[in-house]
Amino acid sequence: MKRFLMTMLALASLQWALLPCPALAQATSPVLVTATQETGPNGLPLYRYRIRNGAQRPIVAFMVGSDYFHGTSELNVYPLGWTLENGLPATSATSPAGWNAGVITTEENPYVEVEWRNAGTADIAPGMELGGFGVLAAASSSAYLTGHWTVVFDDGTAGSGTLVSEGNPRIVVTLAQGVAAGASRWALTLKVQNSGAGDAHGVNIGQLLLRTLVGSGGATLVSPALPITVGDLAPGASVDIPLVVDVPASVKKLSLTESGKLVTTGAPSAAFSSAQVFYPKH
Amino acid sequence: MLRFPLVTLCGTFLLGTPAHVLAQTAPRPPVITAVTPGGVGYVEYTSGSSGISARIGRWDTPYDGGQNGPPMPGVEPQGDSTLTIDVDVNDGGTVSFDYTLKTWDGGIWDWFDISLETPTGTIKLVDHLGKPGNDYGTYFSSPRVPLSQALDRWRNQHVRFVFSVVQDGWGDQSQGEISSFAFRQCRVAPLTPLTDADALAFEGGATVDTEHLQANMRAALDCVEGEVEAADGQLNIASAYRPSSYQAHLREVWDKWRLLKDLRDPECQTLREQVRAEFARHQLLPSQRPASPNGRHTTGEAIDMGSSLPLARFLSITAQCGLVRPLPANDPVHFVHQ
Repeated sequence: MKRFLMTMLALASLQWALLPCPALAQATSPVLVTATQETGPNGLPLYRYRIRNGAQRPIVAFMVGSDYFHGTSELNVYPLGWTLENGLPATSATSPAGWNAGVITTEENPYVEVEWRNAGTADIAPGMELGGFGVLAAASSSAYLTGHWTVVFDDGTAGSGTLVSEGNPRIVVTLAQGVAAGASRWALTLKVQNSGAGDAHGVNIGQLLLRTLVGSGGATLVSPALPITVGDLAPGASVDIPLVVDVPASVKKLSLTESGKLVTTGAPSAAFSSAQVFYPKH
Repeated sequence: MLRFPLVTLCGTFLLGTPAHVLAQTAPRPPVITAVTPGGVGYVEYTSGSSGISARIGRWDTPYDGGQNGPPMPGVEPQGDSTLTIDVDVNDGGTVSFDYTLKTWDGGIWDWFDISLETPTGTIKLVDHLGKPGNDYGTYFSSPRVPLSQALDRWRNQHVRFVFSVVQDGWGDQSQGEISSFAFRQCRVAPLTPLTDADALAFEGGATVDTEHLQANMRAALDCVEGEVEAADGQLNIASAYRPSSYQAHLREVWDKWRLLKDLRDPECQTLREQVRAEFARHQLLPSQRPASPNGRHTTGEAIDMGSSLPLARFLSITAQCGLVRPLPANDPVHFVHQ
């Protein structure tokens, strides 16, 4: 009946909504998926993906914009020309030999994901790399470059992680944990991760600003002292940085903004910046 | 023809074999030696034919403070609710189970960890599963995720699975759940048995329930039925209210079929066939994942329907009766109240 109804009704305008915040990490996957952006026909963004299977089992399916562990899809900019009725145009996705692309929707949800499967002739064996996966999107969207991927292995298990940018390191800082540590004092944990495909050396946080967004007064960083040395981060690696901050009860919402430097293969002094929002539970 | 001599030969071999050699030839599977709730409590577990299932963390009061709202004292413990499962590995094997988390809190405050303590160190199997983002006070549930772990490298040793739900005492509760924890060949745990009476009724075929719609939705549906009939059309209602537990079942079937559809491993073929049959019975679509167990169908606020009338005419009627399609591109049969 559902299929009947879906084909009976025509489609109208697309719905847009805010992307969910990045998810915290689950058990680390030995699979690495790199993403690049090129300019496609009519200047539209063409996103390309390459999978390196470092796991013990062959990969039989691959999804982009798919956060497996949180059960969420992430793409609200759709592949060019995709509709529920007509599916994914052949010109809007590229696939390696033996693989086919499709779009997965979720009932009651505007977000989609792109899925590739093969008929058993083109599994990605352990140790193998495979490129050729691509999506021509209707507009530019960071979710195609920094969102999640999911793979399904031949034994019915799955892996999932964050897309990494090909070539360069990319430092991403997230708030991983918050614990009350006394009256108006909070022990926070920042997770500093290299979400790029290149090595990051000598990462340090030189500045950490606490800004009151809602309320009055100001929060202060108690420890550690600046600069904070993070060190070297290989692709996918992360380090937890403990912070202690004092946040007066009058501050209801604040932002943390970190700026820092790192050394990459091509640049002796590159910079990064990242920000988070924190609601103290007074 | 060949079978009888082999059995005879085997029996002869066994009869003539010393007891200690006999013990080596009969594999000893892993054995659960203890199941222990701990921490700040609020842990329940059961053991049945499909294995151990458990609920970890307090879950009895919805958080009504809204997004990033005030505390609700006394309804959430502060600390970890834990469950440990001790295992003698013996000759090895694989454990598999499903896990999920439901929470009113943000992932920086409450979360679910699963680890395996072994003689060679602790392995984090699930590291800090929480609601994405830093907001708290809104509901989130993760999917039911299958997890498996081979234990062969700790043969004849002891290991311990530790399930821990961290709670911050604010009042926005969290609960982790595991189901079907058992030793099996297939690395994907079986479908979670339905126990809820409403869900079982739906499973039995009574899948269109308009009685439990919200009053405004029932009134709107009456209006649409009258107008479609007056226009000599036929209304087709595919779905209205759905129990949350039934919705969770639909999603689990879809998610497990996604994992097992292209299975090459012979170990899970029986489960694959069970899931395939369930997927077909519910007429699920391969390209559309069912809604979450807290979607608007589960609160009686949505109807999936169409009609034999031209679409523009039908949409005119539904609008006149106060119904809109919030997602015409992705879910064009889904109507909610304006």
